[in-house]
Amino acid sequence: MTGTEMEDILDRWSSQARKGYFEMLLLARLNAGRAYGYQIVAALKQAPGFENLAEGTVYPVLTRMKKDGLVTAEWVAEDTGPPRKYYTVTELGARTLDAMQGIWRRMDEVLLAQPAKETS
Amino acid sequence: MRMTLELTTAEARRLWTDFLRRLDWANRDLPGPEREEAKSEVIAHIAEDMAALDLPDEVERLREALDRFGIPPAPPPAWRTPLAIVLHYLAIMVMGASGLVILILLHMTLMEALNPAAVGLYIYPGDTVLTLSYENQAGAREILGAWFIPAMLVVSALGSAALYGLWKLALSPTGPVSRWMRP
Repeated sequence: MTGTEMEDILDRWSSQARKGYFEMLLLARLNAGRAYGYQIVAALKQAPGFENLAEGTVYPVLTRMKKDGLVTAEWVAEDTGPPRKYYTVTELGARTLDAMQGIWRRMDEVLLAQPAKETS
Repeated sequence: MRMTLELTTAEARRLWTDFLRRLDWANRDLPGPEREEAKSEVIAHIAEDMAALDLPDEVERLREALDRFGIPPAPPPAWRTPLAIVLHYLAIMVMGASGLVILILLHMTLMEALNPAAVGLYIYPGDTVLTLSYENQAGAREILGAWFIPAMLVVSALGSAALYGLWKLALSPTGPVSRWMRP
C-alpha cells in the first residue's frame, strides 16, 4: 500500500468519524454555556479536523437537535449588530451528552488498549 | 424574525441576492416559518462574520464570509422541468414503438428458421424501398438470403442496446431526465 492510498483511506475514515461525533461536540460546547451560531462555529473550528468546517453545515444540525429536544433556542436583541439566536442545552441534551461521553470513554479504552501479542 | 443585511455596493448586493436565491432553493422543503427563521440565522451569521473580517472592501468581506459559510448549489433554470417532462413522455412513446419493432424482427428471425423460403427482406425491380415480409413476394428479389437471421439478430441487439441507453437517460429514476423532473 502506497502512502497516497493510506492517506485516501484516512481521509475517508476521518470524514466519517467527524460526522459521527459532530453532534456530541455541539452538545459539549453548549453544555459549557448558552451560545449563538457564530460562537458555536468558532468553537467547533478549534477542534482537530474541523478547521475547514463549512460553517453552514452547523445550522441544520442545530435545528435537528432542537426538534429532538436536546437544545432550546431564543432570539435575543443586541445593543449593536443583528439579533442573535442563542441555543441552550436541555436536561435531555445534558443526559444525552453524558451517555455519549460514557460510550466514548468505553470506546477509548477498547481502541487504545495495547493487547499482548500472542506467542507461539 | 425577519432580518436584512445592509450592503452599500451594487456588486455586494448582487452577490447577496444570488446567495439568498440559492439558500431559498436549498431550504425549499422546509415549511415557510422555518425557512424564514433559517434565513434570519444565516443573515445574522454572515453579518457577524463580515464585521469580524479584517478586509477593507465590502465585496471581499462578503465573498470571504460566504465562502466560509458554504454556497449552496444554484436552482435549476425554469425551463428544465417542463423540458424534462416532455422528454420523459417522448421517450416512453419511442421505447414502446421501437420495442414493438424489435419484437417483430425477433419473431421474423424465428419464422425465417422455420420457413426460409417465404420470410425475408425483399426489393422490387426498379424500386428502392425494402420490404420485410412473412410471405414470398412475387416479382421481388430477396436480398439477404441466409444472412437474414444474423442480420436481424444484430439489428435487434443494436436496437435493444439503444433502447437501454434511452431508458437510462430518460426513464430510469436515477437518470438525468427523471432528476430534472423533480421540482
